[in-house]
Amino acid sequence: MAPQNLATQLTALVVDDDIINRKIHQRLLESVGVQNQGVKNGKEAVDIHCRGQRFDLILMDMDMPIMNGIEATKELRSMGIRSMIVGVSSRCTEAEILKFMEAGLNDYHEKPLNTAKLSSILDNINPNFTSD
Amino acid sequence: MESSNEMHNKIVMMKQSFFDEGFLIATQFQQLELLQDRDNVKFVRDVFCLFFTDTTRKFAEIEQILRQEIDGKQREDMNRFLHRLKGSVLSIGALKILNGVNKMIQFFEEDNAEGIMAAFEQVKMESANLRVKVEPYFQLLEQVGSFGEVVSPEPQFESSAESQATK
Repeated sequence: MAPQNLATQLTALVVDDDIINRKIHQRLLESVGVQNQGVKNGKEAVDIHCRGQRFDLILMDMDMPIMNGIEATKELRSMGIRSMIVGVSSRCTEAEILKFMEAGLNDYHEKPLNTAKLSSILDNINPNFTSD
Repeated sequence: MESSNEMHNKIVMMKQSFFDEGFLIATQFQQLELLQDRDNVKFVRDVFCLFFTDTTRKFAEIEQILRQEIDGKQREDMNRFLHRLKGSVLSIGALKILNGVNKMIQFFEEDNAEGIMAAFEQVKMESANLRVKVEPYFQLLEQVGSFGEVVSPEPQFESSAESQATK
């Protein structure tokens, strides 16, 4: 698990249309000291960035209404967002995961997210990372 | 009147039965318990309450589409609903419900409408069974309280036609 002082410097955005997954993922992040917010679809994730907010980590679901995770990831990358974007989905076939990765993800984890998976994600985040 | 030790033993046995009888995946339940702390003492109970409330809504969305011919936008919506349901089922580790949802997804990909309906009935039944299984556990936890004292029980789950139907 990332050391507490590193984790408390980090911010995260949970993008998931499912209220249960948002609740659990946000609590997981909170439990390791990562400040976080949750939004319900890809468009809200894009809008929050358009308003100037930036996050070290974005946990992106794939299947969402209005704008799905693939579309949102492509849009964020085209906006120049270089945050770590990690796909988190119930999809498990190679083809589905590859399609999601090709949208611009840094990593992908199959649901459910847990402390071990979150540890590996946080360990990959450079606290000195600068996003525009 | 049961002693505090007897109540705690009962709680432990009830919880173990969730895993022994294949209702829940132990590691995922334990993961949820790890997220409980002084500021989130009822996190696991709250997650399960939310799951049962939200699946009622999810089932209604799926049922609405199943009444029509599934093509075009309905097909996209159904795909999304099924994977959203799968995601929340995975997050609480509800194994029997997960088996049913996986069948629904398989039949959906095969365009097998009868198969989807049958699997959906299984999913609804298993969801109701899970609720009947876990509700007494959370009620007992509430009775025992954080210091092991027996306190007056209060209703934990909203009443549901589903839970009544399986009794």
